[in-house]
Amino acid sequence: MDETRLGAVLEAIEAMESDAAPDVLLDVLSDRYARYVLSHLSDESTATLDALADTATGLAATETGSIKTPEDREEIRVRLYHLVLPKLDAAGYLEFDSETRTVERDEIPDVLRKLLRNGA
Amino acid sequence: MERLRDQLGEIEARRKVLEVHTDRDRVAAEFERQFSTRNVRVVREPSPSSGGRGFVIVRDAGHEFRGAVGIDHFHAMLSPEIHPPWTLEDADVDYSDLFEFLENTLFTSYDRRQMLAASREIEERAWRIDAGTLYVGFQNSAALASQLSVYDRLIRERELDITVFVEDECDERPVDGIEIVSDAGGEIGAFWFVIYDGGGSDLNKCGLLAEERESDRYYGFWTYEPERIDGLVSYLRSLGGA
Repeated sequence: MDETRLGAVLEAIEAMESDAAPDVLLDVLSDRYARYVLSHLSDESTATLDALADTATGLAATETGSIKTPEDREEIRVRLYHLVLPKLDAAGYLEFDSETRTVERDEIPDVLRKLLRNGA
Repeated sequence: MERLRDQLGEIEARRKVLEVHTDRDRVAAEFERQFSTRNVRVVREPSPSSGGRGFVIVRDAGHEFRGAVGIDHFHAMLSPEIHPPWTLEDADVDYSDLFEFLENTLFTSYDRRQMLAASREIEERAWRIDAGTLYVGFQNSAALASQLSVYDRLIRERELDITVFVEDECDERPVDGIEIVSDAGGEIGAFWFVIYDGGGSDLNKCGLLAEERESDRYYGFWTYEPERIDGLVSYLRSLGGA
């Protein structure tokens, strides 16, 4: 995120008098894989880890203008499993069942949805 | 010995899936037009809104993930710029990655321009490796004439052998050093191919084979599989020439 965009994000958060904690929001927004997961969950309320890994790999390929290999995807899948999904779970945005490797959407704050839609 | 049509048939038997994640109808329709064949199933999936035009995932028959690329990047492949082989490495887009991404994927309606761009990719490798033999099939001697300047330069400036196949009679040798196999049999007239034997290295073997099924509509694939290239080379050598 560049500075102008960061400024816009902070302004949006303030203007909406959101009850979402800004530091959590910023942490999520600055992690591209967290953004990819939340984008996926804006279309579907449940998803498997594999489906999220596919989407995250596809969006990473799009954003970086590169081609992602099966090894890249595996790295992203592991990152989602160990880092990104637990973080989003702790923030209360989704529920991650690490046994069944499925995710259910929980409460994604409006401000976050809006920012993601605008390509934050 | 497998004829050209058998080689195409073998690739047809391998199933692949191009999963197109986009919410734009036109983009999805373009993929279906270019790739939907018996061997490639184009599946449309919803795309998260932040993904621009979306992305493509390639899967093999076992549904295993083989690769992903953004559609903007992929687009370079659908409307390629044609660069001569000796300037290809300076091109804006690195086509070689895209070509490897799509190897053994049947395309169903490439036009002449796309075919030329794909041919240049094979020739560029031969130019870079500077050894070995290129086997090139032209549907007739007029098609050969339009590409002679490229092959003339390849043969003059590189340590390459080039064997050219044409279906019709072609008595004279248009460029010194190029071997011509004319009157090469009924199959040659229907196919466009560029096969490079890798100059002694399996890693550099590559080739393009396509059949013109309608006027200016080509159906085929390219490959980097050494065994497949070996099969094509031994078949072509059996037709005559060097």
